[in-house]
Amino acid sequence: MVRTMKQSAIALTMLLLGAAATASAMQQPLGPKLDYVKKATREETRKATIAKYLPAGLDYGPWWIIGPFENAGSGELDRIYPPEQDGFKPDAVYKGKRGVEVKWEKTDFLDNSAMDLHVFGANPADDVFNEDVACYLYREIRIDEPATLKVRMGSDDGMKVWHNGRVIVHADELRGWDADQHVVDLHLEAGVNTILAKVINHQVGYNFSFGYDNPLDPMLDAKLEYQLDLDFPRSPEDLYYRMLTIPVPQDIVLEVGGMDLLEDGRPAISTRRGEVWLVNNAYGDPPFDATFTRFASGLHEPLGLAVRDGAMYLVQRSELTRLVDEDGDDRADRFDTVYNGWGVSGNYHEFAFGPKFDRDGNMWVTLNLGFCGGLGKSIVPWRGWALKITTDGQMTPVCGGMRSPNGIGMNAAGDMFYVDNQGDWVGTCPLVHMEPGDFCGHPGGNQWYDLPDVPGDNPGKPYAGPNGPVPKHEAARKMPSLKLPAVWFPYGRMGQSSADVVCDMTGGSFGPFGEQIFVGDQTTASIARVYLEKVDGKYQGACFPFRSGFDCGVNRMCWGTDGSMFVGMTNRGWGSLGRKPYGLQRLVWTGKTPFEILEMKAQPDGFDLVFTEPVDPQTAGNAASYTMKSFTYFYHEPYGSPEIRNQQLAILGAVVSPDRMRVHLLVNGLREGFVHELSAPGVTSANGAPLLHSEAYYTLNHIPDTPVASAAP
Amino acid sequence: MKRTRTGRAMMTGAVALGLVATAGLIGAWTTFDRGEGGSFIADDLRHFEPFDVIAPSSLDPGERLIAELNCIACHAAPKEIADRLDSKQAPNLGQVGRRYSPDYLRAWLADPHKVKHGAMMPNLLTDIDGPMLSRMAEPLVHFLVSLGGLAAQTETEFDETEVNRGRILYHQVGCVGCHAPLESPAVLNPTLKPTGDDPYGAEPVLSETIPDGATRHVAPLGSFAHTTIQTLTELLHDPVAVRPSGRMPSMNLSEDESRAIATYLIATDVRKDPAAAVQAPFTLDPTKAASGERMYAQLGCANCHRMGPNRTDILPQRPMPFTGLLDLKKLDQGCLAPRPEAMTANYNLTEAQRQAIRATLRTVKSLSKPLTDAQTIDRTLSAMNCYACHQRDGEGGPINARRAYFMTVGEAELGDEGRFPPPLTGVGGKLRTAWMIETISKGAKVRPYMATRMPAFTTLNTESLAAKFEKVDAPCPVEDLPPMAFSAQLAADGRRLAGTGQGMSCINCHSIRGSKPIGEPAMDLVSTHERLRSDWFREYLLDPAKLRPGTRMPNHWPPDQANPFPDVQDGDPNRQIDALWAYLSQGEFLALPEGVPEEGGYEILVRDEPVVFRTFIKGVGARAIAIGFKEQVHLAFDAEQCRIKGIWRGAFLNASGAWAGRGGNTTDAIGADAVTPADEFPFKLLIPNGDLAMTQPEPQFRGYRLDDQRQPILEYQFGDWLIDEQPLPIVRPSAPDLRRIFDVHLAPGKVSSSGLAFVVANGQKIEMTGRDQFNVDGKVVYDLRYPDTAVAKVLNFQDADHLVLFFGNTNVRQAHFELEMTW
Repeated sequence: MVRTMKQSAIALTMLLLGAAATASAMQQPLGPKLDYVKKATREETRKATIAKYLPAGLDYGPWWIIGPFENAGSGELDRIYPPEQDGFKPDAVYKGKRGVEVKWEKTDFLDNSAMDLHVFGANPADDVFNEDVACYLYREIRIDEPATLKVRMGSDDGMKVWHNGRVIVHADELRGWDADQHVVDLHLEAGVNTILAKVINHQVGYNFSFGYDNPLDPMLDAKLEYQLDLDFPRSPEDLYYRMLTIPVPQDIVLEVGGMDLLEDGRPAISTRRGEVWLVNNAYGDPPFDATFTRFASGLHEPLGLAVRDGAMYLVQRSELTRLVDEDGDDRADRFDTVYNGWGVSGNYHEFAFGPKFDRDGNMWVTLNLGFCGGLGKSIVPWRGWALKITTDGQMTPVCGGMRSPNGIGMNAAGDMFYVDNQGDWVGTCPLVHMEPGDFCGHPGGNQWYDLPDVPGDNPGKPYAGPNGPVPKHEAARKMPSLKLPAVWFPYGRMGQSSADVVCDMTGGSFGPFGEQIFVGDQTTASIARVYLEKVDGKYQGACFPFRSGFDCGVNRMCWGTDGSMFVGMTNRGWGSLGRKPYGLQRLVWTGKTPFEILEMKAQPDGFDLVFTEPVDPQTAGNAASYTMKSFTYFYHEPYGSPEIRNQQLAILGAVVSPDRMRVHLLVNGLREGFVHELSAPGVTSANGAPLLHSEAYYTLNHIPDTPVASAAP
Repeated sequence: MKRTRTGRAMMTGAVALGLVATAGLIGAWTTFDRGEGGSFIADDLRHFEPFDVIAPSSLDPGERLIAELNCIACHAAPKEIADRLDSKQAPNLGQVGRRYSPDYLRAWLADPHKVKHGAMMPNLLTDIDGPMLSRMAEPLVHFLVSLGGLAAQTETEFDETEVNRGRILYHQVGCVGCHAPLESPAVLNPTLKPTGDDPYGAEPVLSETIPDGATRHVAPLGSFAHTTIQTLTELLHDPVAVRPSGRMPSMNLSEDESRAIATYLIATDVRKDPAAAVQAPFTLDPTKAASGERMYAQLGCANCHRMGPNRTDILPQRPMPFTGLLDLKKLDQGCLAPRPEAMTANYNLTEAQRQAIRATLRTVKSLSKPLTDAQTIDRTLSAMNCYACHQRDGEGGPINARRAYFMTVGEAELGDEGRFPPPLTGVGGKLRTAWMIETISKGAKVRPYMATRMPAFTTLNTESLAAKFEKVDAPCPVEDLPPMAFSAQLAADGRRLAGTGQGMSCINCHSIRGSKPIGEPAMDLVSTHERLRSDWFREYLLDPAKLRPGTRMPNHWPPDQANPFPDVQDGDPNRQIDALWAYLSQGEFLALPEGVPEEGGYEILVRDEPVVFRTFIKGVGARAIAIGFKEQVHLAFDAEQCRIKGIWRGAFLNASGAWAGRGGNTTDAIGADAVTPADEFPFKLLIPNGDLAMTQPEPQFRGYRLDDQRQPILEYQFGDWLIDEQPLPIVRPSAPDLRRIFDVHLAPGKVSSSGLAFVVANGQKIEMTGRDQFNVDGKVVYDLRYPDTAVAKVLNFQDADHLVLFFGNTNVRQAHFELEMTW
């Protein structure tokens, strides 16, 4: 019921925004043109289009069935009954098993699915007429010109199949059904062709199937899906940010580990299998003329890649490497070790992430802890740390306390952030500003604070509280260097495993979220959006849902030259939502502005919301349009944390600004150190549209003492 | 409330020494304490059980005490009350003489509570001491010894492997759910130790303050210095044979495992206090035993204790008739007196507990009414202490001090779901009744990643209990659920959905019919259909976090999103769930889905160009670089030590260590026909007299480059020299061999004055077999090419031959040389 309502809400939104108009954006793809037949629904359109690719005049007649005839299991497939001799005579009546009269009956059996042949006797559970029996199935296939069709047949138990009287399958077996038991090239003659199948059953399962492949080759099928996505969006988000799926050739396992643009604008992608691929023609819309060039291979799980000054820097498990293509043939021929001073014990969980360049040209690398007995450990140097490395290999440790820091990024101000993954000492995935000497919370790598010239002091054993674990902000009062995340991503609702951090510096080509941060999520195949502000000199802010429904877990993102976002995916070993095990998609702003909460700013008495579009003062000015609750997380060793100390907060008022772009929410009971979860389902835009995403989660480390001026949007 | 082990050990030791010194028959009454001090029953009545299990507020504490203390063994009650109470039965004594030393039995009889805090047995000899105590207790000791025969001497020598195995098992399989841990959780995870970040402290925590202020105690554990490995093994292996009420359930320990735990427990106590294991000589006196048997019947022992299998019970005799439960009037006398008189059963109750019992007895008739189903469930979970591990409706679950003992087996990163037994909230609506019966009565093994075991509660009426769970939790009986659709097509679609490629990739985390999951080893789905109710399965899949908050299982049909598989069952989530169910309902006969990793399915073939492949290689290290040639000779270079560690022929390598599952595993690369170069970094710095320099620089790996033919050249630095090393295949009629070309030159700006040598090979016997040709141990022939200024020598030192190239004792600026290896 809930689902239906949501779907109609989607439909309504699409209607309001004129979904169909986007179809005009399509350019003609290269390669064979798709003969597209648009119908009322996605499925009908798909079927009608596919029909265009079938041989002319092809018409599958209905299936007829006759039975049961006596058949004592295996070995009697060749026992002949009248339908086999007479052929199809719709009016004939024969004696079947136990002398019952049998005649041909028309069925509604469907192709491409297993037909259940338990249809005889008074009820399907009647063993006498459904076990140790044989039956015949008959159908006609018409066609204008001779053609060859590949068909797939299967049965439970054995079967014998005739095409125009000639045996094409003979399988005298007791077996279970599978769709592909017999793959046969059916040479159809012009006019009417007959198919007669005899299927026997000994006991229990009794099935037959007749299937044929989608006549569209993978490229045409991709084109059809592309057009269907334009005409029948999968989600309201499609209206603002379209996903273009770049087809990956079948022999490339594009499990994306790192991604950046070459100077010529081509994406370079490192994969978990250790290859680097250059994507040519990656910007097509439709994207079907993309091709892939292998730049390098044999690298050790490169989970990050950055291009600078004609070289490619990437992090392997054991080192930071510079790849150079000296002869310009799009293949690397130098693999220089830039820095290999971090430890590698051989533990599977010692992943290395990065590099990302900062403004000064330093490369930032984050290093996973190893896993020993399910807990993160730093048994070799710099595990759990962020390092800063110059292109000539000079390393400076920055901060420790990381667990599984799968993502580094720079914001508009040039500050460096990382994302971590829920687990021991990490209540839920956080976005954290990295500053020298910080302790991010996981004590696994604390011993490296004791090395000379390391910023910050060893923070020691985490504060455990007098009566069991406490939230991180309370522990931070006892542990001065313990860094609070700028943003917590509530588990489940805002993802489950953060991956990569990118900042929108596209100058508006990607839409209204300039200078905001985007964080990928591997498990939920989605991307979150983050607004940050500085309060008391520290970053904090809110995260919002941005885009979901990617083909696979989002692991890396990078900006294209046109301000679109390339999204690289993988889910091997860490399951994800989506349809594929890996892949590459490009997220393109359609030019339409979604109605969203653009910014959420802390105020001494509540929050300021800035919207992307003018609001309807009626709904936006009504405190009842909003609800808010707050909660926080334990800072403790066990995996993750429940949301603790939940509290519902009263919205005392909602004041709309004169320009209708802002709302000031008066909230009772703000708590420092807590995530403040806002839900604003009732708010509509000036033209009546609901928010595309009505949830926001503000991590309120500090309540500002004085009102914070809203920057002009 | 924490008491140090040292303190307790000293106390016990001192008393025990006293026992040995006096060696009197009664002498000193030893304290064999292992629990916490004070009463065995906590003050807070909500936590009234002997070892402080949780009792939901639906249960009357007085009634629970009457049942657990088995009051009706003496104060007879009508059948309906007896049925409702389902009282705990005392241990069977048929073999008690074999199980405990006479010293222990003697101490026990004198005051059970002193021997074992938390003991449920009343002291029947209250306020009796001296010769009188001896006169009464000694015949009983003889009688008890006669049951099963005199116990063997406690062992004093232990097999250390057994002890360690028992230590792990005791702390891991679930014993410490109820009993006190004897060691810190670090015993289970030695890696906790070095960094000192064990948040639970190095001391075992025996009790802790729970949120409502009461102190939770632990199940009593007597001293084991008075029993034998054999008898304790028997108890652990089959506890119900001795303890018929099943409060101590079978942990499904094998005989070996039982023996390991028994060995550990006994070794721990005996080592702490070796004197305690020394038993005073004892000769069984049949006359005393006969008199003890009479006392056994008269004192009331026989009212509670049975003999167990193969021995006739002794009938109680009642010299002083007990009042029936319904007729008890003087509720502040007898056992309920603040200080019970001599010869009265003294349960060591607190005033709060006495009050609770009195309150219940005042309305004793209400006990005739049977418990509701919900109360029966609460009562069972409380009595069996299920709450030690499981949560139900917000009650229970491991206490903080014990959480660290609940562990995941191996490296499974499943979080709390992987280590804590599942919550029982709504369990009757989740599990099929047949599965509940199976699980409760036999234990469960569906979570192979969980170290803690589900015990087998063999004494419970599981049919009735499962039915009650269903009645209380489920919307309808399992038989009334609408049948789930099954068709071959549904099953085929379910198989597709379970797989990778075009499915939901269930197999990324779950195993199916024993398949190896790609990532996390989450529960095998093969038993889904047997375990789960179909309605729960549907509800769970549609929103996993609703039924299991915090679960890592994602919602595969997130709201507001089009179905990711529109071509499966018309994109209808409900029918897709039907399909998964239909597929899984095939149980052991289902066909594995697409994408189940095949063992060794990632063979890397070398076709045209050489393949460079960096990975973890067994015997080479974490910074290994494998190089494969299409000529079918390959090598592995260690970029940490900058040297080739193995050369082989035939198949190159299988990347499954790096590419299967989460990757990061070691690859077994070095294949057939392997040879190994010198087992050390080959370049050596020389001082002017030709000796090795005392300190040799660490080689530094600098990377590699590919030449015009894409043949790799390895680059590293040794002191002031930059070294290029290029391995190249040699094609020969029988098998390929390897040429290694070295190019050494000074790093830019460096002016070295040192000498340089290169160790070509080490061996037992190196023979010169031609001009610049050497045979090493008859296995590998080296042909060397080097500049005229260099010299090749075979040196013998440290009982081995060494083939060394000397490039000069000083001022070596460059060198170019080649080795051909033929084998």
